[in-house]
Amino acid sequence: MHETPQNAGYMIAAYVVTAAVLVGYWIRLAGKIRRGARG
Amino acid sequence: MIPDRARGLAVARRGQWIAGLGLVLLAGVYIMAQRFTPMEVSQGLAQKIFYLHVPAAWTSLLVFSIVGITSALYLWLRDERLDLFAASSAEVGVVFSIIMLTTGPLWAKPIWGTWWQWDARLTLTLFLFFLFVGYLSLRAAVPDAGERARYSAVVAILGFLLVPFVHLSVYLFRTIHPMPVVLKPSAPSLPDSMLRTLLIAFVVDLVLYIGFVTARYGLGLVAHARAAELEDRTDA
Repeated sequence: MHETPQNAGYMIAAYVVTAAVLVGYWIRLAGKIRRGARG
Repeated sequence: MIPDRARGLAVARRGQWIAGLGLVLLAGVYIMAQRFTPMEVSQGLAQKIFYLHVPAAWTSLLVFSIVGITSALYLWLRDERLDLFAASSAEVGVVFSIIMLTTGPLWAKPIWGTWWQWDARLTLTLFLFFLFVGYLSLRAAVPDAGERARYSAVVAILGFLLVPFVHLSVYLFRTIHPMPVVLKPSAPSLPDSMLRTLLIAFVVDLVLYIGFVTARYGLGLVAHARAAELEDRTDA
């Protein structure tokens, strides 16, 4: 019988990295917009 | 082009809202992939990386194509807005490439037993990423706006020429990268439940692209307006 591999850690890492990159970029742009508004 | 600074900020804020909505939708994709999409038995949970990696790869290839086409249009029409849009898109394309190039090895390690293979698909994708990082570095290094736009447009067109080779590399070369399961001449070879999650994740990435590129474009307008203001003050 085929056994399903136990590799949830890699999946969690990929989901965390993706969210971190996208949220991080959003925060970076938000900071630039705030600074742009201040002049 | 002498944009109004307030208009630029309004555009940037609109983009920030759209990208914020995209992030909320991304949380929905996470829930959908975990709770409502079946687990692939032979690969286990690592297969669910597919719903992040593949849409990020499609989005970055699409965005780099848009950068190439917009840059070619800039060289033809010499409209500064096209140059600004290309630069904004390139930055967002690099962000999606970072996701593609980190989630890929995180899938490869448990499935292939190695983080990386120097095969055609992976190597060409890495070159494309470096090319657009180079594009952004070039833009930061050239002070004259006209020269910056011309030089970077040429680099973007060269990058665009690489895109079809990246997609077709799995057919042209011996590679261990999986063959396309959706973007191929025959019907998609995925169960409906997996295909649905994959396509929804791609749409969410497109929403994020639209939001980010709008915000970046608006910030570019603000920078142009500030430069024009400084020039006016110097002249006075």
